[in-house]
Amino acid sequence: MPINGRRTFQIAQSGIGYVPEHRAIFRDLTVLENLTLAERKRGDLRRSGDLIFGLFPRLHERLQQQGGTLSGGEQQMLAIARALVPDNRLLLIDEPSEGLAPVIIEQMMAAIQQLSAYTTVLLVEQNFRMASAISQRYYIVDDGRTVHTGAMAALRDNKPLVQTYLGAA
Amino acid sequence: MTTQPVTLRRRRLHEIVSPLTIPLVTLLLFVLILLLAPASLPKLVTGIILPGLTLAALYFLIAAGLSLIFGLMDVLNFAHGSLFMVGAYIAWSCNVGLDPLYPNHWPVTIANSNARFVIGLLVGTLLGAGLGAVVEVLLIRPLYKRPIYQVLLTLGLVFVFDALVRSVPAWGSDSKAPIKPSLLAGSLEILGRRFPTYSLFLIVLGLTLAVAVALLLRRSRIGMTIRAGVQDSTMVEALGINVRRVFTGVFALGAGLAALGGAAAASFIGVYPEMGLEYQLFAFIVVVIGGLGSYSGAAIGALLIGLARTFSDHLVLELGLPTAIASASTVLVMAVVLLLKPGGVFGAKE
Repeated sequence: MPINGRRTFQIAQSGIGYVPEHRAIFRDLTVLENLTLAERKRGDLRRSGDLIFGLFPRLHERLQQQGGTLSGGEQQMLAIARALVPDNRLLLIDEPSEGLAPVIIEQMMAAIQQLSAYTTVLLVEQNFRMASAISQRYYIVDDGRTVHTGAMAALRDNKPLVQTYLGAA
Repeated sequence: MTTQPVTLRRRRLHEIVSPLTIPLVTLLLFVLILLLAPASLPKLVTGIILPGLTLAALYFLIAAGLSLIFGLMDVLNFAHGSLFMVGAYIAWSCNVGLDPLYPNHWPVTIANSNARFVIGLLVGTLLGAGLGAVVEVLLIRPLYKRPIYQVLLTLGLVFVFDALVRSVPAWGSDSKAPIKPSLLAGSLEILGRRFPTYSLFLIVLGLTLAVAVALLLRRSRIGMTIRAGVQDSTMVEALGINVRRVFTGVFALGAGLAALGGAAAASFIGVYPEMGLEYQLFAFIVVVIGGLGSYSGAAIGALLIGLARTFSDHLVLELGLPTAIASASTVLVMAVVLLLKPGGVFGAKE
């Protein structure tokens, strides 16, 4: 669906990396092909390789493996890595903790926190404890509208608000 | 959303074994046919296997594009056979129009029949590919969200192309005899039997293109994009790739392959308006057998159907059975395949 007359690929080209909820990695492509496909300019992967494989050394070991043969956690790594290949100014990461073991979630969150030093991350996450541990700002969306926004530190202390919208603190 | 693979990858053992069931069962069927109606080795090679491969080459050229287009865009292009036919007519026209000995030849002529033939293949392929691109951009693109309309549109195009071809004065409704280039007009001796050179040319052509397109899909960036798009074209677009341009490219590629098949077939079976539908029927069976959207499946399906046709022709002739049985054999193969493996040789597991 075009937004403001711009089509999906044009929006992406303006510097937005998308990590969808169900990861949507290309299962029949190798890890390397998944990453190469994400290049917008020739050499993108060479430039961002150190960052990507520093965050996810596992991917480097599995470059020639089919995406579909990776574990859930590795697929999530690949989905994030794919968004890091071009020089994106904003990463949209949707529910990165979904369907992953707690240990893997910890690793994922650590990685997201590290990469937020390089680019802006917009994280959609239901797991409040985790999201609150790594973010600076929050936006609470209710029925399609932003109902609250502010610094994450303030939200952490606002127990009633958290209780109302997220049910758990 | 399709999740069907363009099966071009290294597979693990159990994944290799299971697609082999269908070819093995078919092979068994061929052996059974030979037991019922024995053939000498020269007869087997030049009378059954090589003619089967010739048909397979033509079926493959149509089925490959059909399958890729369906895999990537979810469009079942019923007008694919029409592109085959148009390619054939264009090639035929080049062959006669450029011939200085032909009464109504064009202002420019070329004395060498081989050169005319090559020009016919090239012009037929390029115009076919261009026509495919035009059809995609102008007609199919507005209908990507409406599958039923696509079916109606491409079915309608079959009639449009049929009527257009018949209305061209130089073409008309009657069939034209094949014109072979002098280099490929003769026959070769294989195991003591004569075999037409042109059939061998078709086999080589089909094989070359099968390998070339496989390399394109496997080694090039555009091929990688196509394989990714077959799995999830929305995600490809989210990476910043203009997927619609890839769609147009693949449509043109598929149309070009079909038109090349037609252009090559023109010097083999001649040209007639019904040839498109006739070959398309088999191409559809091939695609269903191979697995919708699978390129490797189209190649294997083409082999199976091509051979099934010549084997059953052999059986029918030897045993003096009605020829309708031979025509039914391909549908029979399809039914067997779909019973064994409903998704086709390389189809998604469902």
